Amino acid sequence: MDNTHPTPPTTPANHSARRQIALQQQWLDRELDNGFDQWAGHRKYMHKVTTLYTRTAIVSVLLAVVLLNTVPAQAAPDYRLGKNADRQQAIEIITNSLTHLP
Amino acid sequence: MKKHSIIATLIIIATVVAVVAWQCWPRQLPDKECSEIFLRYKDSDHIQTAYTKNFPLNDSIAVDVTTLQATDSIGWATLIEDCRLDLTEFIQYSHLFKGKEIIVLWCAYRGNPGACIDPQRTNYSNYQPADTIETEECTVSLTNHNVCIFHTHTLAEKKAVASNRYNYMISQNK
Repeated sequence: MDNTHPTPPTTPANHSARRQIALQQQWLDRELDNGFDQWAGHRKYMHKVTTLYTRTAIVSVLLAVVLLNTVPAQAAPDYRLGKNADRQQAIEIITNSLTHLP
Repeated sequence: MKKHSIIATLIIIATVVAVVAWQCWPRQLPDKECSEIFLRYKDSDHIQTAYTKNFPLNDSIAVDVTTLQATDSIGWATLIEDCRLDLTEFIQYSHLFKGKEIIVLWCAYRGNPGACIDPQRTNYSNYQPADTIETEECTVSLTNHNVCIFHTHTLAEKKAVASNRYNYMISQNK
């Protein structure tokens, strides 16, 4: 059983049946108003949050596009080094191999 | 709402950082573009390996080159074995070289420097087109313990490797 449901207030037993119904009706109207206000407030809040994240996404994408086109990308090198290897040493080895006499 | 504003700001900052990092991150030549030999030795502790793309041999020809440098006796022994180098003559006449750098050139099947085709070949007059696709030029420095593999694909590239040495020899003898 769901205990979160609001329960109508108990009315004094000496009230007439009509009076009891009127009191319960008033209580129900108040509950409905409160519930609607809460729902409307939550909806407004969620709308704000959704708008915020949508704008964030748009700004992020725009920023990414701008940065990709403005920040110079690191060019892919025309070499690859193995463990502990040195670029300059590799060039020297090639040059030596091509130029030194047997 | 404040919590969401902070999250949104962080998302924008993260985007900026990620894009800048992506643009500035040092790129590396992918494995698929490197030679088979480079990949074979790249993690070796005894051989320093480098793969160079488009090394210029002259004004119009550039070739990819793999260099293998032995850092110790184990690495050198590995290179001798894998390239099937015969050092008998070098050891026998080493006293004549007196510290000069000795380079030996040979042609081997692609990806297998040990599979020497013709160690005595000095010209390309009898070269068949199929050979140029399946073979590449290799050099070894017997004094500095390094091997250089020129990944040639055409006859012109092979000639350029050899003529580089030849041109240097002519200029030295003048």
